[in-house]
Amino acid sequence: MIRIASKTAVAAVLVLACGCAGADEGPSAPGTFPSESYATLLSDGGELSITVWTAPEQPPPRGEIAVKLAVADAASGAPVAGLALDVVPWMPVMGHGTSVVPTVTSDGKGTYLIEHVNLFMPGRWELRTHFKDDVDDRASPIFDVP
Amino acid sequence: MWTTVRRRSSTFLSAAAVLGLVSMHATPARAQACCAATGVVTPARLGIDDQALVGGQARVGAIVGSYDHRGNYVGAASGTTEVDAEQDAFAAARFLPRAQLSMLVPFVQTYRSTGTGSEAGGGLGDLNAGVRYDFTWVGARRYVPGIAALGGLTIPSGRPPEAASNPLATDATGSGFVQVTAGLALEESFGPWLFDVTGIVAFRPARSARGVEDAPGPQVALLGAVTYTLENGAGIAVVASYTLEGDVSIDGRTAPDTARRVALLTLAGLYPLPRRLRLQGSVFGNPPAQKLGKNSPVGLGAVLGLVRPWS
Repeated sequence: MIRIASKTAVAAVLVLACGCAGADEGPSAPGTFPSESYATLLSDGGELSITVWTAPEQPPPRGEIAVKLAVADAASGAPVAGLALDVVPWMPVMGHGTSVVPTVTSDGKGTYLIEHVNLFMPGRWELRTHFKDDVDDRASPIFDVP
Repeated sequence: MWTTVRRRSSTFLSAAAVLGLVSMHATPARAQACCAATGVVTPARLGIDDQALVGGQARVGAIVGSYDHRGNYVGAASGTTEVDAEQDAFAAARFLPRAQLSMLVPFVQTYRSTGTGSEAGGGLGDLNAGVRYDFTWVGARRYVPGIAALGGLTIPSGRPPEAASNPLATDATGSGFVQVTAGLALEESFGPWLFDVTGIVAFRPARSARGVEDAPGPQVALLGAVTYTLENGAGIAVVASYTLEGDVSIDGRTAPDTARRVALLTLAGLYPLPRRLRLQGSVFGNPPAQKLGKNSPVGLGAVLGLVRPWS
């Protein structure tokens, strides 16, 4: 408790002193993904099976993370490549998203890497994902951030 | 206004309510019995003999953990810190013998540290206006308590998280939601003791951001307070509040496990100063007992303020 109080006092002084400051250190690059997945879920329309990994930790910590999605056809299990993904981190309980817009890259084999996912508050977050082009489906992996 | 922006406001605003409560109760004679839950809508509340007031207060609080969707308390992860500060300027005026209008202008700052960075930011928060109408005065009739209707409007003048510039959104200063509140306050006094029970409902229309339409569930808050006034005009109060909020609806569909529960305990005090100034302060916190909260941060903090009323 004493440690929390002293930390709070120092941070309070920082807050009051700087008022409207910018970031004092940039986020570091997320680490590599673990071999075991975080979750597997079906898309809302049932067309896609989506396997989820997070880095640098799993389950994800507070702060900037990266998310890997392996997208497969729910019926055949075949990877689904060439999709366009719209990704929005959203905190439903608090009713807001993030200031940082995630970036999405693909390996062309049905795996999609989503970077700059900034889960800056503790609580439940959704990664609201819209899969487009060859399909039109959505999925929202859930992360409980401590 | 007891729910908020970065939701931490639920904590801060209830604390503010206590400030108002104590400050009003500690004024002399008739006014002693006239004032609970004042800040439910805003921290500024006029006593029976007051025509206007201005004031300011500063708050600081830290987030030490959170309740998950099952109501389990989870301590803040190692290496993470969040400190919230706020300075409020407020004023109130009586426009009818039984009706008063108040306004609050908040300035908000946040410091956040995570495993990937730390930063601070701030700015103007969400403006709030409130009205109060006293149907009966506490102490005026022996068996009739003071009964008052409360109303409030919060305007999203602050910056919502999606519009923030800082990566950890520390320069987010508002919720993005309009909020309308209505409430009923009952007060009764026994000698130096004042008892208050207040119920409030809040509605926030849906808002859209980043292509997501988010409609918060309706919110109900109950607040109970006991205030003791000393002979020199100083006062001390203990306040407990409990807020319940329904599931959120996102893009027209109910999102499961998104209902919220927030418990808050506050100890507040007031000390009269020369020239009718009042020094007010409080400490507040969300008790970290299992199942007491749900989907809400757990924090503790303190408030210090100064108020000048005119009769």
